[in-house]
Amino acid sequence: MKQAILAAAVAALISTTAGVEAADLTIGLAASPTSMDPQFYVVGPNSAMARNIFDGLVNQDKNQQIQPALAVSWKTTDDLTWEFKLREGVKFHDGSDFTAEDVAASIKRVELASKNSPSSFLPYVADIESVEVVDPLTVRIKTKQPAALLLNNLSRIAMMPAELEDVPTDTLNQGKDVIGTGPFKFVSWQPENRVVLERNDQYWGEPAAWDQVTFRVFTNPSARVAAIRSGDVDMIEAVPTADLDTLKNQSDIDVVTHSSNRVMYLHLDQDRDQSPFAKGRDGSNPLKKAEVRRAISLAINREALVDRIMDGQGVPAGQLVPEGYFGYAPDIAVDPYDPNEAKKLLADAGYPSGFSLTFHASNDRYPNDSLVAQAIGQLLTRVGIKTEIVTLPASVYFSRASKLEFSMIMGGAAVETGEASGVLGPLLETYGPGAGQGNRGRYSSPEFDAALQKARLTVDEGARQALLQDAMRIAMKDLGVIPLFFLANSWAMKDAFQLTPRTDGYTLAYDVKPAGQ
Amino acid sequence: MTAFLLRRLSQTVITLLVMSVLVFVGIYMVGNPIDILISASATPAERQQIITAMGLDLPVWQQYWIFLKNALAGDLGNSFVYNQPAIRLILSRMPATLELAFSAFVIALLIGIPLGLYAGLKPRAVGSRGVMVFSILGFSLPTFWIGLMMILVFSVYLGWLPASGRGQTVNVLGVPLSILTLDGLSHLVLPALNLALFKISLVIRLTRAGVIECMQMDYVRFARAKGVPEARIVLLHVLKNTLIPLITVIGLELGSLIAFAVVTETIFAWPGMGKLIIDAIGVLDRPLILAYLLMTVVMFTIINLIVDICYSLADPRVRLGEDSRS
Repeated sequence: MKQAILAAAVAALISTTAGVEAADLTIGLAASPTSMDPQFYVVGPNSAMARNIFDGLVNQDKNQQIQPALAVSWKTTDDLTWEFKLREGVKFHDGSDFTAEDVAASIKRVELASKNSPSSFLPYVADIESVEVVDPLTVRIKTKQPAALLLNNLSRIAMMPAELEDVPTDTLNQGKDVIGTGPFKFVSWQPENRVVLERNDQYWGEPAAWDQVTFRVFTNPSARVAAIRSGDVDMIEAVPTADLDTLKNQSDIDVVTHSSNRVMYLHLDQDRDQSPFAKGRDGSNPLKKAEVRRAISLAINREALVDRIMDGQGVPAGQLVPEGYFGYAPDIAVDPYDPNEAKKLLADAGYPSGFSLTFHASNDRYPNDSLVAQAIGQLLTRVGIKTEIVTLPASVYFSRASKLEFSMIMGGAAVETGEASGVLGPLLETYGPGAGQGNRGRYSSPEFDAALQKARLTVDEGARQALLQDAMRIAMKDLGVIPLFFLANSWAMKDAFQLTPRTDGYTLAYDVKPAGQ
Repeated sequence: MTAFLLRRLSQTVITLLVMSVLVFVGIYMVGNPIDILISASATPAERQQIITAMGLDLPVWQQYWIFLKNALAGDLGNSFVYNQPAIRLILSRMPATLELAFSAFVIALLIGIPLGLYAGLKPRAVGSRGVMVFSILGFSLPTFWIGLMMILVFSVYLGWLPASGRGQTVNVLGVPLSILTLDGLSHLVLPALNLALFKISLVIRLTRAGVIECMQMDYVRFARAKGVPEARIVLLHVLKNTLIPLITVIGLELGSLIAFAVVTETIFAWPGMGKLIIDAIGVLDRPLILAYLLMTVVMFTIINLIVDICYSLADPRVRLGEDSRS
């Protein structure tokens, strides 16, 4: 570690004395990666950092669609067998060749790296029965069952040299053996402070535009904004909505806003006869009735939430994945704002004078989450549902929500796999062993479960897309969850730089180019 | 002296025990870290495996017992999210925090004592009134706001100093220090001044009050009557007597400087312990929180010890071994 810091200091010195020739980039991140092991912990900041240094067999592009990376092509010989042709001439950062052996070892290493992980990569390799090395550039993967999501899952598994198969996370965290095939090589890392990378000149794709990249961590939003305004960094991610205008008005700073894959939604207790925080006159749980759920959806003015509370940083949602994603159903409309219809539905459901509800939300997990919750509370009160708002820190909120202590909650889910089953499964599948672990409203529909399960086992793309759309239609008709809006991500950068934004919100140095290129 | 040290040591051990129980139970009641850390797509089997691996399936007293046994063997556990020994993470960040806190401390004394002395000796002068107004502002304006304003003025508009982070470091006896390089100093000035502001005000007020009180004492009048030069009266008699209460308060304030550094570290992206602990609390990274708080207790104890020793040096009437003082 000390050597790494020293190396960084020396590198910094060299780069400043080298003058204008060196093209360096400094990026202000909103959260620190917690490990340099790309297979240790499934969490945004870690995955984003890993993508600078490592590749998968396939990678997700800026719209999270699967693209060839270290594998150039693949075919399925039967429902359980996939054969991958590897890219020729790819070199690891240590100079060794990338071959089929490395693929087998990397997939095997996930088990080792999952030790002590708070959220491991094991689910992504759970379908894999065996990995066979056919020849140095061919790999055959057998799955336990038809695995339609194999490519999406493999896009999350970083490829490392076979020699690292038995190297534990701790070694990588100390800055040793952080070796991938990606556009940048690892130089140094200090947790919660900075990561330094340098260009990989042997990269298999187009070389990156930067000799050296420094990621610095500013968890405090004001500090992040100050860093770009003072010129300490060239670019920041996660621009706070309150500062968007200031930055846009500054002539030498550009702001880029791009829709994201994270949907904000409401979970409603629709399973229990009596709910702790939603009570009609007779003490029963009104949220069990589909009309009531529809009334709540119609009572919410999504346009206003996005415009007024989010400063335009979002898109109203009528389903759980954004347009263009695998499984998006174009025929599902966003519920309009219609308070009169909402009142009518409430009356039809037997609640002409509404009912009382306490709405729980987090206050430090999502952008403006407590403000959004308060606005929703007011909108619901307007149609007669007497709503109280309670907002809690995420550290308390999620534990209690999982224990079903609440009646109506707000959450946000990112479509990490790039296709619909990645959110439909956790949020809506009937809760039970192996399914619906994030289904805090306990929605349960046999038709929905059947469609989703069938989609998972269908390798044919067209048929699978249709099944996912069916599942989405069923869940949205029943309002298993109420979608609110898709969050947008914003970046601010000096006008000498330009960025190709990604829907997953990852800030990748490779996507940053000097302006005008 | 030995008896005094022994008694202090046993007090510290008891404090550490009580502290660890409180923190352990406190965090246990707040929430389950698994709900925050694990991804929604994990199966119950994976979830269970992680819970077992982290020892979260045991009753809380049993978890505490395991923690205690390991702690006595010098192992405070691995951070959940970093998968590194918590103590290593904290120690690697400690030099940055201590450097910041001590710089702020020195600034507070160097600015506070002379200004306080001046305000005490000439309470009616216009300058003294100015000093007192400044100290009221220092007391009442929130640290984070002043920090942001400092960044806006000195970094954004004037561009004189960097807005954030720690500068280049050099290793002194294996400890990376940034105060010895020009780049490091330029990074240190704003956060240290920001952190010091409140303490400067405090030192000014304490010194001023002490000086005004001492100046009316008989020994000062006698000294004057004897023809002792004014400078000698002020520096030797007045200042030394003023220092006695000052040392007690300032010593405790050094501890709070280290604790308050959290706010300043967050605003200036200073890579100290504070930033680490804030995020650890957010995800209920229990081993890291515990290790941090226990380290803080140890640090406070050491500071208090040093204060008591200084106190006995400044005031010969104080004897450390005597029961009446503790």
